[in-house]
Amino acid sequence: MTLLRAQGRANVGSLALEVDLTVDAGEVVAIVGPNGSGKSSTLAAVLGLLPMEGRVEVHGHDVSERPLEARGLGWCPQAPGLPPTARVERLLRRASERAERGDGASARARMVAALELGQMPARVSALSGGQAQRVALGRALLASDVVLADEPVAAQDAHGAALVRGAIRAHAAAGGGVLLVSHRPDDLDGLADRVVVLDGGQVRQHGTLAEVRAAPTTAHAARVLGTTVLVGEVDDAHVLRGGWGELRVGDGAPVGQATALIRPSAVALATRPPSDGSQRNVLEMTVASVTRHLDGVTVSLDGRPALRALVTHDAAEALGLQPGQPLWASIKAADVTVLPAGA
Amino acid sequence: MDQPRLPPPRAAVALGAVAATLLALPLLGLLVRGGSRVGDALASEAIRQALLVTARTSLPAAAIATVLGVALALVAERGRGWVAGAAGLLGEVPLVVPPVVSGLGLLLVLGREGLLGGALDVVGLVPTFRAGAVMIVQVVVALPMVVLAVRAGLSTLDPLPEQVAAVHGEGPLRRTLSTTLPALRGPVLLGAGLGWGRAVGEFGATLVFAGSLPGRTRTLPLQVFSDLQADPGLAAGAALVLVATSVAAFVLARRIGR
Repeated sequence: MTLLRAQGRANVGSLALEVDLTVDAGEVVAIVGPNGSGKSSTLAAVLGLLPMEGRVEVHGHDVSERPLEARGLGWCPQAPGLPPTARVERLLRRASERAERGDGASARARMVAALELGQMPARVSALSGGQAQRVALGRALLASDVVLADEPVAAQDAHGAALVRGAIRAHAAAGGGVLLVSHRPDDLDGLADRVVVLDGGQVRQHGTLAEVRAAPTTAHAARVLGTTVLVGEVDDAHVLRGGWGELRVGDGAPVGQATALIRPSAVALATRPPSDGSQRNVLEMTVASVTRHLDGVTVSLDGRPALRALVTHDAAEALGLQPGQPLWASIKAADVTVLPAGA
Repeated sequence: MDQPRLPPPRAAVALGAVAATLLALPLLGLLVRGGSRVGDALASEAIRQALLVTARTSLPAAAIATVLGVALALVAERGRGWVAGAAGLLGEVPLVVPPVVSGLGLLLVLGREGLLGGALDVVGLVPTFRAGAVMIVQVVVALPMVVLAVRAGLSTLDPLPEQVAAVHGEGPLRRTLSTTLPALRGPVLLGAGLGWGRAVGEFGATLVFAGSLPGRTRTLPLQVFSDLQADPGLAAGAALVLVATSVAAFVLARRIGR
């Protein structure tokens, strides 16, 4: 069942914004794109804060002509937007009063537990940035089953980020839908089911996270999804060279200027150089940083070229990953996607 | 404010000293001439009566002006088109119009001979020369203080909390009460304090519209004025009582508002 459908056009200053998205029950959809691409403006248009020519449907009802308060949405803005003099408990109560879904008190109790809102100061003015963001998210999730969240993980430390991701996934698992905005690929792993790639106000691509990662249609889409993007020149021995180093690419890659994309999941790591196997690229690297999240561990690697690898928690454990640690990365030539120059 | 504040330039300190002197001079005059007469003033039946009339009229007037002024400020800042413009202008005009003129205008409309006087007379509600007239005048002069203070607060208020409240289902009245007004506590109390001070001190319009009837419409400023001829020292003593109450109430309002 589709919970939210929005289609239309809006003008944000000089940017012509195209809005085209759906969020189904049980789904978390992420809008990704660079700064100024229209991500937050898309949320504003859906909310009714930005005039839009087109149609917004919530639960199948056209709400385009309705004022903000009658659209039935939940919203967690990037700046949390909590009234500074309010009490956290009261804000949550007011938000859950509207939803009228089951028992308000037990829904609040679950939210307080899920986001650890109980261990915080009672007054909004005493909250830290990350705490305020979690309260804002809790409020939005209590207010509606259809929630728009703008960079909900941005102000969180590792523990807070895990709580936020858990609460958003739980909301979807309970039949809700979440539309979120993010510019950090690490935030999306294990969180977003589908992504909408926005650039210059236009929707460039949409699909599941795996689909867009596997076959990004633009270098930009690849970059925002955490894929390594390398620009260089392919010679007739199928080697792509650039200032960043060199890589063996697939046999079908045309000679000349090209952009190569390497998905983090295509990069295998080992503590010793793999001696035989089908991988054509074996590179000596140093671990720059290690980010653990729900469905894996993202490893940033320094080397020629610098890469990102996605491995399982087990694998990370076995490798004993530490920043500064030397490692061997291997990539099959066939796993390097080559786009013609300029894509 | 946890940020360290940098000191002002010397020129501002010098000019500020001139301003402070000008502001302190009248207080100094009152203290020198009236300081020893405060006891006499408080013992005077006429002054006590005037104090009572002032309290009875100015406190409700300030409360009414606060409620109406907050509403007008909301319309002026958040309304659209000419309505907002007109609300803003009307709310601040009494600041630049001499109170005597406001009083005259009120008399021409609400007085027995005024535009609405005939109709009001039929129902026995002509306000002139009654305590009600004093309150009407005080509300008129207090309103701009509330409107100014609340508009200043509204114009710098972060709109995001209200937007979130709206998205979460709160209509205009509910979100104003839940979100906007609590955030405007300081400006509202400042406006109320300033407006009350203005109401207590109102003179010209009261004299024209309400008259100076002892025990009914003679407020403390009118009493000070009538004592001035016969006993300037007593007038200064009464004036000190007036200043002390106004300043105390104003400082209190600012404290609570912070």
